Amino acid sequence: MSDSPIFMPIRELSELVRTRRLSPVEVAETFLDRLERVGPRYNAVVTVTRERALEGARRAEREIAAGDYRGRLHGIPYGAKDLLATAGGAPTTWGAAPFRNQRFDYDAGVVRRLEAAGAVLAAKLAMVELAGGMGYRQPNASFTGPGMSPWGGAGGGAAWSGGSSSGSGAAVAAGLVSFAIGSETWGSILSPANNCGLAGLRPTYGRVSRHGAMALSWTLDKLGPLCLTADDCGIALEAMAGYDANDPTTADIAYRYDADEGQGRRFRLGVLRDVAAGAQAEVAANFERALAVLADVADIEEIEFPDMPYEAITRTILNAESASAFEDFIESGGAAGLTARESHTPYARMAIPAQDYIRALRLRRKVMIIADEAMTPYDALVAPTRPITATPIDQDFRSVVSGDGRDIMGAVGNSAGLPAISVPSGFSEAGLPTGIQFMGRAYDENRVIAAARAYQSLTDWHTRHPEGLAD
Amino acid sequence: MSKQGKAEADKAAGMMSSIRARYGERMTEEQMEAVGEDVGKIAAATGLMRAAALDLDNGDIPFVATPYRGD
Repeated sequence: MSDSPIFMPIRELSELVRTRRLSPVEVAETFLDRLERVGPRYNAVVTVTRERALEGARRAEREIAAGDYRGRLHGIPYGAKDLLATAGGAPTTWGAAPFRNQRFDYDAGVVRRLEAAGAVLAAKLAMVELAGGMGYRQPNASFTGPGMSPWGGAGGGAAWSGGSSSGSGAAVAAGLVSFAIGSETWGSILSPANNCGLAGLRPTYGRVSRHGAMALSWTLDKLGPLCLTADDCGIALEAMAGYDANDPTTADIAYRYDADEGQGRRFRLGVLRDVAAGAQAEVAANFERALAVLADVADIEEIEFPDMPYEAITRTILNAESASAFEDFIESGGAAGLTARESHTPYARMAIPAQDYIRALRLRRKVMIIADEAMTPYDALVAPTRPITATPIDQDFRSVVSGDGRDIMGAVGNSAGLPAISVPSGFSEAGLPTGIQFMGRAYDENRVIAAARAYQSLTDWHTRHPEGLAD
Repeated sequence: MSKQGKAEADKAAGMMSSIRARYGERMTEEQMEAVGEDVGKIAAATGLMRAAALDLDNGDIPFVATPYRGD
């Protein structure tokens, strides 16, 4: 077995670190070099936190040598989406030119938790400006340029890494860090997981503290990990999750990752009727193949949600809250300094009447009850993560958030705050990854991870990596 | 035009009037047209929610935060 940390899942890498066959400092040096050398190729990195990383790695090395092993993230380098505040002088840009010199004197709650677990912050990663909250229709809506998927595509075409956690996806897929933190308001973890061929976990709303994270939509934002495997997502989430008095929305419910969940039993999975209708043919075909694979370990049933304007509800909440979160910025004309051509988009949101927002919040409770009742018999609902593969970086796309498209899984999952994990389900003819998502009931992360892990035990998509990046 | 369609159009017109008054000086007519399209989508979403809200009772509370005590 090679001892190169590149593309090595956390579970394996941590064992080499724990048994001192790999030095945390050497691991950090390897990834720091790649962040600086390879990162720019994909517009994946805003700031390499070299000094902080080496300091953390040296501390981890000393502690492990002294027998003070903190757990599976001890000495493991990671990257944080650049909407997470960090002390120490590195800017926290929110991906937007007007904030490129913004600095904080404290670490975000999730960064503090990862630090306590011994993880090593190696980089602040690129993102769509303001997490896409002001509206965008092109991948280049970031002051660091369009995030590019390391999978590129046949013929060398540059493909979008997805958004808004674009650098988090690209960095893990290119082997620049072992894992990364992303955020999702509606699709921003699952989309890069899909486009970059990764595992991406959107935790239950309130699982992970958002203290120190840029707020786009207070009642929709979640933080979660992007990793090489579903198993790694569980390992990372355990360190990230937990109550934080600085974020009153965090749940006082402990999360322990159970890697044995689901062992020796069949899963029960639901599929929304016509959930792949309208998807790109290769996406639909890969989803059908995934269902055939899952039939080995699961009973799969078709289900329906009652007819409700799920997308309209979630969209109204996101639009109203983002307009409020950035009211001063919008009112002052700051949006004109954004990179996206549609910097005028937020003005429409400023006119949403309060009663429409409240109506959306009242309907949201109905959605939460509907979803929970429908999902109770199942370990998870499964669906294609995205209906299309990564789009070319110079091509506009239809945004389900600012547009009028359908995405029932995303709309229900995010408005009801439900956990979901995406893992790769194959490739298109152009060599671009497709994904399958498993969405569960609130606080059922272990179940959705277990179902995804079972799928990954029967497939090898997650073991494939873009050419030319293994060393 | 249906009753709902007219309600949405009226709503969109009202929103556009407010936007034009508050931010009109900042935008070109082309940008204002684009904003108008977004406003139309927002008004359409409102229409869909109004129809769904017929099932809401007076006591159906919104998704809300929990009370807070600092001690």
